Amino acid sequence: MNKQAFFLGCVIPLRFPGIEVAARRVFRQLGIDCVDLEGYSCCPEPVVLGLTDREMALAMSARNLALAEKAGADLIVLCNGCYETLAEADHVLRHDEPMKARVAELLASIGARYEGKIRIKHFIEFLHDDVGLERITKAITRPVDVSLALHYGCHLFRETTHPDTWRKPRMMKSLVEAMGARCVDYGLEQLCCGFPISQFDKNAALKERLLPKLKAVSTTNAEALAFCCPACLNQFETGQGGVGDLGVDVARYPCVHVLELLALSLGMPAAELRLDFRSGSTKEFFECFWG
Amino acid sequence: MTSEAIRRLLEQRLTKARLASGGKDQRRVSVELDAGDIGEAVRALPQDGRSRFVTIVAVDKGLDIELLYSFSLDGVLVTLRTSVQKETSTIDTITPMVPGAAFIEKEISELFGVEFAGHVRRANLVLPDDWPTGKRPMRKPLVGDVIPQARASVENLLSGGTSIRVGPSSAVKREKAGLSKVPPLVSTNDDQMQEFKDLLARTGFDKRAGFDWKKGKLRYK
Repeated sequence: MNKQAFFLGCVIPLRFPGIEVAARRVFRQLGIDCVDLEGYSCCPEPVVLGLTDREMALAMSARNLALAEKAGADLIVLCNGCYETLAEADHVLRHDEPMKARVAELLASIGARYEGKIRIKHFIEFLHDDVGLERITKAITRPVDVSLALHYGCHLFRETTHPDTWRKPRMMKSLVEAMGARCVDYGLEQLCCGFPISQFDKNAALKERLLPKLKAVSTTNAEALAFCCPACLNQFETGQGGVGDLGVDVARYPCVHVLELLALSLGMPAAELRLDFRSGSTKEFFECFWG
Repeated sequence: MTSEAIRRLLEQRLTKARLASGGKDQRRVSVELDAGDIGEAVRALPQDGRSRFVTIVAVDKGLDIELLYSFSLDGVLVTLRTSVQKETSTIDTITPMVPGAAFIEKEISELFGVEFAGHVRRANLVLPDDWPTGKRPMRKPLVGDVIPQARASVENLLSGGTSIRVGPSSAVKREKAGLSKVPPLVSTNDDQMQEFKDLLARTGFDKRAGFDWKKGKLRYK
Protein backbone atom coordinates (compact mmCIF):
# COMPACT_ATOMS: atom_id res chain seq x y z
CA MET A 1 0.00 0.00 0.00
CA ASN A 2 1.32 3.42 -0.95
CA LYS A 3 1.90 6.25 1.49
CA GLN A 4 0.25 9.64 0.92
CA ALA A 5 1.82 12.83 -0.38
CA PHE A 6 0.30 16.30 -0.58
CA PHE A 7 0.16 17.95 -3.96
CA LEU A 8 0.20 21.53 -2.74
CA GLY A 9 -0.01 23.33 -6.10
CA CYS A 10 0.99 27.00 -6.47
CA VAL A 11 -1.88 29.13 -5.15
CA ILE A 12 -2.29 27.62 -1.70
CA PRO A 13 1.38 27.63 -0.59
CA LEU A 14 2.18 30.98 -2.20
CA ARG A 15 -1.03 33.00 -1.70
CA PHE A 16 -2.97 31.22 1.06
CA PRO A 17 -0.41 29.54 3.34
CA GLY A 18 -3.06 29.42 6.11
CA ILE A 19 -4.90 26.79 4.08
CA GLU A 20 -1.71 24.73 3.86
CA VAL A 21 -1.32 25.05 7.63
CA ALA A 22 -4.92 23.89 8.03
CA ALA A 23 -4.39 20.94 5.67
CA ARG A 24 -1.32 19.72 7.51
CA ARG A 25 -3.10 20.09 10.85
CA VAL A 26 -6.23 18.27 9.67
CA PHE A 27 -4.42 15.28 8.26
CA ARG A 28 -2.06 15.03 11.21
CA GLN A 29 -4.93 15.19 13.67
CA LEU A 30 -6.83 12.51 11.76
CA GLY A 31 -3.79 10.27 11.90
CA ILE A 32 -2.93 10.45 8.20
CA ASP A 33 0.79 10.73 7.62
CA CYS A 34 1.28 12.89 4.51
CA VAL A 35 4.73 13.54 3.12
CA ASP A 36 5.73 16.39 0.83
CA LEU A 37 6.29 15.80 -2.87
CA GLU A 38 9.85 17.06 -3.17
CA GLY A 39 10.69 18.81 -6.43
CA TYR A 40 7.16 19.22 -7.73
CA SER A 41 6.28 21.89 -10.28
CA CYS A 42 3.12 23.63 -11.36
CA CYS A 43 0.54 20.94 -12.25
CA PRO A 44 0.25 22.92 -14.80
CA GLU A 45 -2.81 25.15 -14.41
CA PRO A 46 -5.54 23.55 -16.55
CA VAL A 47 -7.24 26.50 -18.19
CA VAL A 48 -4.77 29.03 -19.54
CA LEU A 49 -1.55 27.00 -19.41
CA GLY A 50 -3.19 23.66 -20.11
CA LEU A 51 -4.68 25.03 -23.32
CA THR A 52 -1.51 26.85 -24.36
CA ASP A 53 0.40 23.69 -25.29
CA ARG A 54 -0.95 20.17 -24.77
CA GLU A 55 2.33 18.29 -25.05
CA MET A 56 4.09 20.62 -22.63
CA ALA A 57 1.20 20.38 -20.16
CA LEU A 58 1.09 16.58 -20.29
CA ALA A 59 4.86 16.28 -19.94
CA MET A 60 4.84 18.54 -16.89
CA SER A 61 1.94 16.66 -15.28
CA ALA A 62 3.57 13.33 -16.04
CA ARG A 63 6.77 14.49 -14.36
CA ASN A 64 4.80 15.29 -11.20
CA LEU A 65 3.08 11.89 -11.34
CA ALA A 66 6.42 10.19 -11.90
CA LEU A 67 7.86 11.92 -8.82
CA ALA A 68 5.00 10.63 -6.70
CA GLU A 69 5.31 7.12 -8.10
CA LYS A 70 9.06 7.09 -7.45
CA ALA A 71 8.36 8.17 -3.87
CA GLY A 72 5.81 5.35 -3.55
CA ALA A 73 3.07 7.86 -2.71
CA ASP A 74 -0.54 8.35 -3.71
CA LEU A 75 -1.38 12.00 -4.22
CA ILE A 76 -3.81 13.99 -2.09
CA VAL A 77 -4.48 17.09 -4.16
CA LEU A 78 -5.48 20.26 -2.35
CA CYS A 79 -6.60 22.31 -5.36
CA ASN A 80 -9.47 21.64 -7.79
CA GLY A 81 -7.45 22.77 -10.80
CA CYS A 82 -4.44 20.64 -9.88
CA TYR A 83 -6.76 17.68 -9.34
CA GLU A 84 -8.26 18.02 -12.80
CA THR A 85 -4.87 18.42 -14.46
CA LEU A 86 -3.26 15.44 -12.73
CA ALA A 87 -6.28 13.12 -12.91
CA GLU A 88 -6.79 13.86 -16.59
CA ALA A 89 -3.10 13.42 -17.34
CA ASP A 90 -3.18 10.06 -15.56
CA HIS A 91 -6.24 9.10 -17.63
CA VAL A 92 -4.58 10.10 -20.92
CA LEU A 93 -1.41 8.22 -20.04
CA ARG A 94 -3.45 5.08 -19.39
CA HIS A 95 -5.65 5.22 -22.51
CA ASP A 96 -4.06 7.30 -25.28
CA GLU A 97 -1.31 5.04 -26.65
CA PRO A 98 0.42 7.51 -28.99
CA MET A 99 0.50 10.24 -26.33
CA LYS A 100 1.59 7.72 -23.71
CA ALA A 101 4.52 6.72 -25.92
CA ARG A 102 5.49 10.31 -26.60
CA VAL A 103 5.35 11.27 -22.91
CA ALA A 104 7.29 8.13 -21.96
CA GLU A 105 10.00 9.20 -24.41
CA LEU A 106 10.09 12.70 -22.91
CA LEU A 107 10.26 11.39 -19.35
CA ALA A 108 12.97 8.91 -20.29
CA SER A 109 15.10 11.82 -21.52
CA ILE A 110 15.35 12.98 -17.88
CA GLY A 111 15.60 9.47 -16.46
CA ALA A 112 11.99 9.36 -15.26
CA ARG A 113 9.08 7.04 -15.93
CA TYR A 114 5.41 6.76 -14.97
CA GLU A 115 3.61 3.42 -14.90
CA GLY A 116 0.26 4.44 -13.46
CA LYS A 117 0.76 2.76 -10.09
CA ILE A 118 -0.51 5.60 -7.90
CA ARG A 119 -3.92 7.01 -7.05
CA ILE A 120 -4.73 10.67 -7.46
CA LYS A 121 -7.41 11.85 -5.07
CA HIS A 122 -8.96 15.22 -4.36
CA PHE A 123 -8.67 15.93 -0.64
CA ILE A 124 -12.49 16.01 -0.43
CA GLU A 125 -12.82 12.45 -1.70
CA PHE A 126 -9.92 11.22 0.43
CA LEU A 127 -11.47 12.63 3.58
CA HIS A 128 -14.91 11.31 2.61
CA ASP A 129 -13.94 7.85 1.37
CA ASP A 130 -10.61 6.94 2.96
CA VAL A 131 -10.99 8.64 6.33
CA GLY A 132 -14.79 8.51 6.54
CA LEU A 133 -17.38 10.93 7.89
CA GLU A 134 -17.86 8.92 11.09
CA ARG A 135 -14.21 9.19 12.05
CA ILE A 136 -14.16 12.90 11.22
CA THR A 137 -17.33 13.59 13.18
CA LYS A 138 -15.90 11.81 16.24
CA ALA A 139 -12.76 13.94 16.07
CA ILE A 140 -14.63 17.26 15.95
CA THR A 141 -14.50 19.20 19.23
CA ARG A 142 -15.86 22.58 18.07
CA PRO A 143 -18.77 22.13 15.65
CA VAL A 144 -19.12 24.77 12.93
CA ASP A 145 -22.47 26.29 13.91
CA VAL A 146 -22.94 28.52 10.84
CA SER A 147 -25.05 28.64 7.68
CA LEU A 148 -22.92 28.32 4.59
CA ALA A 149 -23.46 28.68 0.85
CA LEU A 150 -21.19 26.23 -0.91
CA HIS A 151 -19.31 27.02 -4.09
CA TYR A 152 -17.98 23.73 -5.45
CA GLY A 153 -15.88 25.02 -8.35
CA CYS A 154 -16.05 23.71 -11.93
CA HIS A 155 -13.12 21.32 -11.63
CA LEU A 156 -14.69 19.46 -8.70
CA PHE A 157 -17.25 18.14 -11.19
CA ARG A 158 -14.54 16.50 -13.34
CA GLU A 159 -14.59 12.73 -13.30
CA THR A 160 -12.33 10.33 -15.20
CA THR A 161 -13.63 7.03 -13.85
CA HIS A 162 -17.12 7.71 -12.44
CA PRO A 163 -20.17 8.65 -14.52
CA ASP A 164 -21.67 10.79 -11.74
CA THR A 165 -20.21 14.31 -11.94
CA TRP A 166 -21.97 15.34 -8.71
CA ARG A 167 -20.07 12.68 -6.73
CA LYS A 168 -17.40 14.95 -5.25
CA PRO A 169 -19.67 18.01 -4.77
CA ARG A 170 -22.00 15.82 -2.70
CA MET A 171 -19.00 14.68 -0.69
CA MET A 172 -18.07 18.31 0.00
CA LYS A 173 -21.58 19.02 1.22
CA SER A 174 -21.59 15.92 3.45
CA LEU A 175 -18.21 16.90 4.88
CA VAL A 176 -19.34 20.44 5.67
CA GLU A 177 -22.53 19.12 7.29
CA ALA A 178 -20.52 16.61 9.30
CA MET A 179 -18.71 19.59 10.83
CA GLY A 180 -22.05 20.87 12.09
CA ALA A 181 -22.67 23.56 9.48
CA ARG A 182 -25.95 24.14 7.67
CA CYS A 183 -25.62 24.20 3.88
CA VAL A 184 -28.13 26.54 2.23
CA ASP A 185 -29.36 25.98 -1.30
CA TYR A 186 -29.23 29.01 -3.58
CA GLY A 187 -29.81 27.45 -7.00
CA LEU A 188 -26.57 28.52 -8.71
CA GLU A 189 -24.15 26.21 -6.93
CA GLN A 190 -22.85 24.84 -10.23
CA LEU A 191 -22.15 28.23 -11.83
CA CYS A 192 -18.49 29.03 -12.41
CA CYS A 193 -16.80 31.70 -10.26
CA GLY A 194 -15.56 33.40 -13.43
CA PHE A 195 -11.83 33.03 -12.81
CA PRO A 196 -11.01 31.86 -16.39
CA ILE A 197 -13.17 34.60 -17.90
CA SER A 198 -11.50 37.19 -15.65
CA GLN A 199 -8.20 36.52 -17.45
CA PHE A 200 -9.78 38.02 -20.58
CA ASP A 201 -12.48 40.37 -19.31
CA LYS A 202 -12.62 41.18 -15.60
CA ASN A 203 -15.90 43.06 -15.78
CA ALA A 204 -17.64 40.27 -17.70
CA ALA A 205 -16.50 37.77 -15.07
CA LEU A 206 -17.88 39.94 -12.30
CA LYS A 207 -21.18 40.75 -14.02
CA GLU A 208 -21.91 37.33 -15.57
CA ARG A 209 -20.60 34.99 -12.89
CA LEU A 210 -19.85 36.51 -9.50
CA LEU A 211 -22.77 38.91 -9.32
CA PRO A 212 -25.52 36.36 -10.14
CA LYS A 213 -24.10 34.04 -7.50
CA LEU A 214 -23.89 36.74 -4.85
CA LYS A 215 -27.43 37.86 -5.64
CA ALA A 216 -28.69 34.29 -5.34
CA VAL A 217 -26.87 33.73 -2.05
CA SER A 218 -28.24 37.01 -0.69
CA THR A 219 -31.78 35.54 -0.91
CA THR A 220 -30.77 32.95 1.71
CA ASN A 221 -29.60 33.20 5.31
CA ALA A 222 -26.04 32.17 4.46
CA GLU A 223 -23.43 33.77 6.73
CA ALA A 224 -20.42 32.91 4.58
CA LEU A 225 -19.32 31.20 1.38
CA ALA A 226 -17.36 27.94 1.60
CA PHE A 227 -14.88 26.73 -1.01
CA CYS A 228 -12.58 23.83 -1.71
CA CYS A 229 -10.69 25.57 -4.54
CA PRO A 230 -8.16 28.34 -3.87
CA ALA A 231 -8.68 29.98 -7.27
CA CYS A 232 -12.44 30.22 -6.70
CA LEU A 233 -11.86 31.50 -3.19
CA ASN A 234 -9.48 34.16 -4.49
CA GLN A 235 -11.94 35.12 -7.22
CA PHE A 236 -14.69 35.73 -4.68
CA GLU A 237 -12.51 37.32 -2.02
CA THR A 238 -11.00 39.86 -4.43
CA GLY A 239 -13.94 40.02 -6.84
CA GLN A 240 -16.48 41.16 -4.27
CA GLY A 241 -14.60 44.45 -4.07
CA GLY A 242 -14.76 44.68 -7.87
CA VAL A 243 -18.52 44.23 -7.84
CA GLY A 244 -18.71 47.15 -5.46
CA ASP A 245 -16.65 49.22 -7.89
CA LEU A 246 -19.23 48.48 -10.59
CA GLY A 247 -21.72 50.38 -8.46
CA VAL A 248 -23.81 47.32 -7.73
CA ASP A 249 -25.24 47.01 -4.24
CA VAL A 250 -25.12 43.39 -3.17
CA ALA A 251 -24.25 41.68 0.10
CA ARG A 252 -20.64 40.65 0.59
CA TYR A 253 -19.62 37.45 2.26
CA PRO A 254 -16.64 36.08 4.12
CA CYS A 255 -14.89 33.39 2.09
CA VAL A 256 -13.74 30.30 3.95
CA HIS A 257 -11.96 27.16 2.81
CA VAL A 258 -13.27 23.74 3.82
CA LEU A 259 -9.89 22.81 5.26
CA GLU A 260 -9.84 25.95 7.40
CA LEU A 261 -13.28 25.11 8.76
CA LEU A 262 -12.29 21.52 9.42
CA ALA A 263 -9.09 22.53 11.17
CA LEU A 264 -11.01 24.91 13.43
CA SER A 265 -13.67 22.31 14.16
CA LEU A 266 -10.90 19.90 15.16
CA GLY A 267 -9.76 22.44 17.75
CA MET A 268 -7.07 24.41 15.95
CA PRO A 269 -6.81 28.02 17.23
CA ALA A 270 -7.90 30.56 14.61
CA ALA A 271 -4.69 32.58 15.10
CA GLU A 272 -2.69 29.75 13.56
CA LEU A 273 -4.51 30.22 10.25
CA ARG A 274 -2.76 33.60 9.77
CA LEU A 275 -5.97 35.38 8.86
CA ASP A 276 -4.14 38.70 8.65
CA PHE A 277 -3.39 37.67 5.07
CA ARG A 278 -7.07 37.42 4.21
CA SER A 279 -9.80 39.96 3.50
CA GLY A 280 -11.21 41.98 6.37
CA SER A 281 -14.63 40.32 6.30
CA THR A 282 -13.14 36.82 6.31
CA LYS A 283 -10.88 37.68 9.22
CA GLU A 284 -13.80 39.17 11.17
CA PHE A 285 -15.92 36.09 10.47
CA PHE A 286 -13.33 33.70 11.83
CA GLU A 287 -12.62 35.88 14.84
CA CYS A 288 -16.32 36.25 15.56
CA PHE A 289 -16.91 32.52 15.63
CA TRP A 290 -13.61 31.17 16.83
CA GLY A 291 -11.99 34.06 18.72
CA MET B 1 21.34 14.18 -60.94
CA THR B 2 18.45 12.44 -59.22
CA SER B 3 17.02 13.86 -56.02
CA GLU B 4 18.63 11.02 -54.09
CA ALA B 5 22.04 11.81 -55.55
CA ILE B 6 21.57 15.49 -54.71
CA ARG B 7 20.67 14.55 -51.13
CA ARG B 8 23.78 12.40 -50.78
CA LEU B 9 25.96 15.17 -52.19
CA LEU B 10 24.59 17.77 -49.80
CA GLU B 11 24.79 15.39 -46.84
CA GLN B 12 28.49 14.93 -47.55
CA ARG B 13 29.20 18.62 -48.01
CA LEU B 14 26.94 20.11 -45.33
CA THR B 15 27.55 18.32 -42.05
CA LYS B 16 25.46 20.70 -39.95
CA ALA B 17 22.40 20.78 -42.16
CA ARG B 18 19.27 18.65 -41.71
CA LEU B 19 18.02 17.09 -44.90
CA ALA B 20 14.39 16.17 -45.22
CA SER B 21 13.44 13.23 -47.31
CA GLY B 22 11.75 13.93 -50.61
CA GLY B 23 8.70 12.02 -49.56
CA LYS B 24 6.31 11.18 -52.37
CA ASP B 25 7.64 13.95 -54.58
CA GLN B 26 10.91 12.65 -55.98
CA ARG B 27 11.72 15.98 -57.59
CA ARG B 28 12.21 17.94 -54.35
CA VAL B 29 15.00 18.12 -51.81
CA SER B 30 14.68 20.26 -48.71
CA VAL B 31 17.65 21.30 -46.58
CA GLU B 32 17.23 22.98 -43.21
CA LEU B 33 20.18 25.01 -41.96
CA ASP B 34 21.22 27.86 -39.71
CA ALA B 35 21.26 31.33 -41.23
CA GLY B 36 25.01 31.58 -40.78
CA ASP B 37 25.54 28.58 -43.09
CA ILE B 38 23.64 29.91 -46.11
CA GLY B 39 26.78 30.82 -48.02
CA GLU B 40 28.31 27.40 -47.48
CA ALA B 41 25.06 25.75 -48.56
CA VAL B 42 24.90 27.74 -51.83
CA ARG B 43 28.55 26.86 -52.55
CA ALA B 44 27.78 23.19 -51.85
CA LEU B 45 25.51 23.05 -54.90
CA PRO B 46 27.22 22.11 -58.18
CA GLN B 47 28.95 25.22 -59.56
CA ASP B 48 29.03 24.08 -63.19
CA GLY B 49 26.00 26.11 -64.27
CA ARG B 50 23.39 23.43 -63.59
CA SER B 51 22.21 24.95 -60.30
CA ARG B 52 19.77 27.59 -61.49
CA PHE B 53 18.66 30.11 -58.88
CA VAL B 54 14.85 30.41 -58.83
CA THR B 55 13.88 32.77 -56.00
CA ILE B 56 13.85 33.40 -52.28
CA VAL B 57 10.51 33.24 -50.47
CA ALA B 58 10.11 35.08 -47.16
CA VAL B 59 7.50 33.95 -44.66
CA ASP B 60 6.77 35.94 -41.51
CA LYS B 61 6.34 33.30 -38.80
CA GLY B 62 5.70 35.70 -35.94
CA LEU B 63 8.97 35.30 -34.04
CA ASP B 64 11.27 34.70 -37.00
CA ILE B 65 11.25 35.29 -40.71
CA GLU B 66 11.71 32.09 -42.63
CA LEU B 67 13.69 32.33 -45.87
CA LEU B 68 13.38 29.62 -48.51
CA TYR B 69 16.07 29.74 -51.19
CA SER B 70 15.04 27.68 -54.23
CA PHE B 71 17.35 26.30 -56.87
CA SER B 72 16.51 24.10 -59.84
CA LEU B 73 19.13 21.38 -60.37
CA ASP B 74 18.56 18.93 -63.20
CA GLY B 75 14.80 19.35 -62.83
CA VAL B 76 14.88 18.83 -59.07
CA LEU B 77 13.78 21.74 -56.85
CA VAL B 78 16.33 22.14 -54.05
CA THR B 79 15.13 24.36 -51.21
CA LEU B 80 17.51 25.73 -48.60
CA ARG B 81 15.38 26.64 -45.59
CA THR B 82 16.58 28.94 -42.88
CA SER B 83 15.25 31.55 -40.46
CA VAL B 84 16.38 34.83 -39.01
CA GLN B 85 15.18 36.07 -35.65
CA LYS B 86 13.25 39.30 -35.99
CA GLU B 87 15.36 40.95 -33.29
CA THR B 88 18.43 40.77 -35.55
CA SER B 89 16.87 40.14 -39.01
CA THR B 90 20.27 39.78 -40.66
CA ILE B 91 21.70 37.21 -43.07
CA ASP B 92 24.61 37.37 -45.51
CA THR B 93 23.78 38.21 -49.09
CA ILE B 94 24.33 35.43 -51.63
CA THR B 95 24.81 37.91 -54.49
CA PRO B 96 28.60 37.40 -54.76
CA MET B 97 27.83 33.82 -55.76
CA VAL B 98 24.39 34.40 -57.27
CA PRO B 99 24.15 37.93 -58.75
CA GLY B 100 20.62 37.17 -59.88
CA ALA B 101 19.49 37.14 -56.24
CA ALA B 102 20.01 40.90 -55.98
CA PHE B 103 16.44 41.84 -56.92
CA ILE B 104 14.62 39.45 -54.59
CA GLU B 105 16.94 40.13 -51.65
CA LYS B 106 16.21 43.85 -52.04
CA GLU B 107 12.47 43.21 -52.29
CA ILE B 108 12.51 41.07 -49.13
CA SER B 109 14.64 43.65 -47.38
CA GLU B 110 12.17 46.46 -48.17
CA LEU B 111 8.99 44.50 -47.49
CA PHE B 112 10.06 42.36 -44.49
CA GLY B 113 12.95 44.32 -43.00
CA VAL B 114 15.56 41.57 -43.40
CA GLU B 115 19.06 42.97 -43.89
CA PHE B 116 21.13 41.05 -46.41
CA ALA B 117 24.59 41.99 -45.20
CA GLY B 118 26.84 43.00 -48.06
CA HIS B 119 24.03 43.81 -50.50
CA VAL B 120 25.20 46.85 -52.46
CA ARG B 121 21.95 48.64 -53.40
CA ARG B 122 20.85 51.35 -51.00
CA ALA B 123 17.93 53.06 -52.75
CA ASN B 124 14.45 51.55 -52.70
CA LEU B 125 13.63 49.19 -55.48
CA VAL B 126 9.97 48.22 -54.97
CA LEU B 127 8.76 50.78 -52.44
CA PRO B 128 8.31 54.48 -53.33
CA ASP B 129 11.31 56.72 -52.66
CA ASP B 130 9.41 58.62 -49.97
CA TRP B 131 8.30 55.48 -48.13
CA PRO B 132 8.85 56.01 -44.35
CA THR B 133 12.16 54.61 -43.19
CA GLY B 134 11.84 51.50 -41.08
CA LYS B 135 8.23 50.84 -42.05
CA ARG B 136 8.06 47.34 -43.53
CA PRO B 137 4.64 46.66 -45.06
CA MET B 138 4.81 42.85 -44.98
CA ARG B 139 6.36 42.53 -41.53
CA LYS B 140 4.07 41.59 -38.66
CA PRO B 141 4.75 42.45 -35.00
CA LEU B 142 7.08 40.20 -33.04
CA VAL B 143 4.75 37.67 -31.42
CA GLY B 144 4.78 33.96 -30.59
CA ASP B 145 2.20 31.29 -29.79
CA VAL B 146 1.44 32.40 -26.24
CA ILE B 147 -1.67 34.53 -25.83
CA PRO B 148 -1.25 37.73 -23.80
CA GLN B 149 -3.21 36.33 -20.86
CA ALA B 150 -0.77 33.42 -20.49
CA ARG B 151 2.52 35.23 -20.99
CA ALA B 152 3.33 36.03 -17.38
CA SER B 153 2.43 32.49 -16.32
CA VAL B 154 4.58 30.97 -19.07
CA GLU B 155 7.57 33.11 -18.09
CA ASN B 156 7.16 32.15 -14.43
CA LEU B 157 6.73 28.51 -15.37
CA LEU B 158 9.76 28.22 -17.61
CA SER B 159 12.05 30.21 -15.36
CA GLY B 160 10.88 28.92 -11.97
CA GLY B 161 8.58 25.92 -12.35
CA THR B 162 5.40 27.59 -11.11
CA SER B 163 2.77 29.72 -12.83
CA ILE B 164 2.86 32.15 -9.90
CA ARG B 165 6.17 33.80 -9.12
CA VAL B 166 7.78 32.71 -5.89
CA GLY B 167 8.60 36.09 -4.41
CA PRO B 168 9.65 37.67 -1.11
CA SER B 169 6.05 38.31 0.01
CA SER B 170 5.10 34.64 -0.21
CA ALA B 171 8.23 33.73 1.79
CA VAL B 172 7.26 36.24 4.50
CA LYS B 173 3.69 34.91 4.64
CA ARG B 174 4.88 31.33 4.88
CA GLU B 175 7.38 32.07 7.62
CA LYS B 176 4.74 33.89 9.65
CA ALA B 177 2.47 30.87 9.20
CA GLY B 178 5.16 28.59 10.62
CA LEU B 179 5.95 26.99 7.26
CA SER B 180 9.20 26.71 5.31
CA LYS B 181 9.99 29.90 3.37
CA VAL B 182 9.49 28.11 0.07
CA PRO B 183 7.36 25.00 -0.55
CA PRO B 184 9.29 21.92 -1.78
CA LEU B 185 9.20 23.11 -5.40
CA VAL B 186 11.44 22.08 -8.25
CA SER B 187 13.12 25.51 -8.03
CA THR B 188 14.59 24.62 -4.62
CA ASN B 189 16.89 22.03 -6.22
CA ASP B 190 19.29 23.06 -9.00
CA ASP B 191 19.61 19.58 -10.52
CA GLN B 192 15.86 19.04 -10.60
CA MET B 193 15.30 22.52 -12.02
CA GLN B 194 17.75 21.79 -14.84
CA GLU B 195 15.98 18.49 -15.57
CA PHE B 196 12.67 20.33 -15.60
CA LYS B 197 14.02 22.87 -18.10
CA ASP B 198 15.50 20.08 -20.23
CA LEU B 199 12.13 18.34 -20.28
CA LEU B 200 10.35 21.46 -21.46
CA ALA B 201 12.99 22.11 -24.10
CA ARG B 202 12.50 18.58 -25.43
CA THR B 203 8.83 19.25 -25.99
CA GLY B 204 9.90 22.21 -28.15
CA PHE B 205 7.56 24.43 -26.19
CA ASP B 206 10.30 26.95 -25.47
CA LYS B 207 10.81 27.48 -29.22
CA ARG B 208 7.11 27.60 -30.02
CA ALA B 209 6.56 30.04 -27.20
CA GLY B 210 9.61 32.10 -28.13
CA PHE B 211 11.24 31.86 -24.70
CA ASP B 212 14.72 33.30 -24.23
CA TRP B 213 16.38 31.08 -21.61
CA LYS B 214 19.22 33.55 -21.00
CA LYS B 215 16.88 36.40 -20.19
CA GLY B 216 14.24 34.21 -18.56
CA LYS B 217 11.57 35.97 -20.58
CA LEU B 218 9.54 35.62 -23.72
CA ARG B 219 10.98 37.41 -26.73
CA TYR B 220 7.85 39.55 -26.92
CA LYS B 221 5.67 41.35 -24.39
